Amino acid sequence: MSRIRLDAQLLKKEVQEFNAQLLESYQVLKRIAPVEIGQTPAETLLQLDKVRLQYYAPEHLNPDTPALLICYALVNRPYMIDLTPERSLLKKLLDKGIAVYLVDWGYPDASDRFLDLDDYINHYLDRCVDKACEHAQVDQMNLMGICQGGTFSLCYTALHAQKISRLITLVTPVDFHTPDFTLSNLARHIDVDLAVATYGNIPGTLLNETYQSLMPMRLGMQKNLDLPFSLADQSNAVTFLSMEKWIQDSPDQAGKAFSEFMKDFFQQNRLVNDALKIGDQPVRLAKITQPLLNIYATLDHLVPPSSSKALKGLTSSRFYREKSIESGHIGIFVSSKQGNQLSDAIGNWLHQDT
Amino acid sequence: MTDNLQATIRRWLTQFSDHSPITELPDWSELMQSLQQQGWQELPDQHAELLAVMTQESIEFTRFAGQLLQQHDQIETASFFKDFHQHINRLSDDLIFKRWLLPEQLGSMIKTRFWDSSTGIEMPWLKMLNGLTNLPELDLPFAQQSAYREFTRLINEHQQAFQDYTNHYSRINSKAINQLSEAIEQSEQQISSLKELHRLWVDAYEISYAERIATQEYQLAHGRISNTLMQLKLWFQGQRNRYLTQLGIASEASLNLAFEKIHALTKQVRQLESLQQQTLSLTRELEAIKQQINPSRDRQS
Repeated sequence: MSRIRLDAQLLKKEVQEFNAQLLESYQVLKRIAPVEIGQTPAETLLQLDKVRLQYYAPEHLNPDTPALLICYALVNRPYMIDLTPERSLLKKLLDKGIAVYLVDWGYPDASDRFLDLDDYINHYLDRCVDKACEHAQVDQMNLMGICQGGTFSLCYTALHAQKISRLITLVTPVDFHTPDFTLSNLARHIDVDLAVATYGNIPGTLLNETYQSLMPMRLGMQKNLDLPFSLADQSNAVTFLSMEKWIQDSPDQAGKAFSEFMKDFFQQNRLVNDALKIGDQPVRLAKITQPLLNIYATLDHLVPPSSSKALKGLTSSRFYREKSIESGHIGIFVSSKQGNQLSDAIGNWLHQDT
Repeated sequence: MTDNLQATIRRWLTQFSDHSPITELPDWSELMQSLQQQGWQELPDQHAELLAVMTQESIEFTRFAGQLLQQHDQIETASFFKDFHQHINRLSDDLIFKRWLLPEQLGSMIKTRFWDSSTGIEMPWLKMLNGLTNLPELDLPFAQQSAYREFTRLINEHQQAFQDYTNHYSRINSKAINQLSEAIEQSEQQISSLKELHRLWVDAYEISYAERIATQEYQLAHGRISNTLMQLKLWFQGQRNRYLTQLGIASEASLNLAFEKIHALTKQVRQLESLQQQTLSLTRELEAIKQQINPSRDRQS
């Protein structure tokens, strides 16, 4: 006997319910103003071209807790860590009395096409580290890199070891050639020079399409079918709209930096092969001696855990720890299921004696 | 007005549910589109875009259900799979065409000059190739002939890459359908909801898709179609830049040259500033050392 039995009457009812739910969703949408993201107040300490260093002061600064500089990825926007007040890693860190500095890379335009990784890491990030140290009145800063920002942070620490006290890498790609690294597999045969010659700066929309193509049905059909539930009430709808806004808010990538990152990391895997140079300086992970906390998401489809975990043994860190969180690449920041796991891990790490 | 329309839709939904024959579904698309068009004026951009997605989803969902309902009161498994396969192939084709669209201007050129609508959407490029090869050569200057030849070559390459790429998707779809069938047969409970079926389908598809994109063949096909499309875009930009240069207008290429020089100069300035800082720092250190060596002489002088 077949396991499928679509009854016409039930089917009709289902379609009617689905459409009635859509009408309800429409009502919910009507009541919601345009969503606001990244609402935590910040002070801009430094502006270099389009790059800004933001300072977030905790309401009650804990003098025993060292400050933290967060380096986000060039792709997408850093307000992922402050999506809504209810889903804000930033707010949780501030609640722990941690002073947070955040690098906002801005939106590159045509005039930034020739910015390279040397500019981003040895100039912009370096100046941000200096400024954060000066502001916090310390000689060394704790650095946390997220995703590509984690890769940048590893390179930075290898090149400027004296300026960093502790390092945290969060959902960070390290080995770009692990078999389950789908994004990397798809990038392997792309003619990167042709891409930059064609587009100049690589459009953010193109990158979004690529991310979507990693799970096209789940991120397309499934998400659309779930829309009436995602928009069932105001609170869910605001979260959903904020997330959608973040997904769509994808800056273009400076052509030269994109080309270098694609070739050196994705295609040639130079970071783990000890063959990477940035601004003519060799980047050796073995030069990293700082205490290092490597956090990855077990369900990450963009940066598989295998890629992040490859960091173990590649540095000379005197205190290397891994922390896994059962979540996806984005869920690790915004999912309510995670509670305070991430902020606790970061806060504890900053306090830990090593 | 929108509220009135919604109220009408609601009333109509209720009445329809109570009185209409089982196998009929409302023409939901027209109503939702009216709602969308009116709602658009009142909602913020992001909300309006979402409403557009929802409308499309509603139309697709209703259309597919309607298609099933027209068959029999009790839907048979075999015909379901046939319809579902068609439904999915259409969605998949839409996805591929949207993703690998020709550059807008090229698409327009093909449509206005060479595309006979009777050929449908399957092979417009081949039709266009015929158009190009039929151009009277003497009517064109040499440079233009070369450009068209290059364009023809690129289009041909893209067509082949596209064909190869879509073949992968046909295989993904077929395997996914098989997996869906297996999942349904192995299911402990009878499946009676379209949404449940969709969910099973999403799981089956993602498994089939993940397997395929992990293959070297798919990765090559993906790289190839990406590259051929970019080559076409670049060709078009090259033509545009040449045209702009002829008119004495600064093209993107000349702007890029300027940006490249500015960037190189900025780096140089930064290096000089860094050297200057080092020199200043060394000078200060030197002064300090001098003072340590002979502080009394400094005091005397």
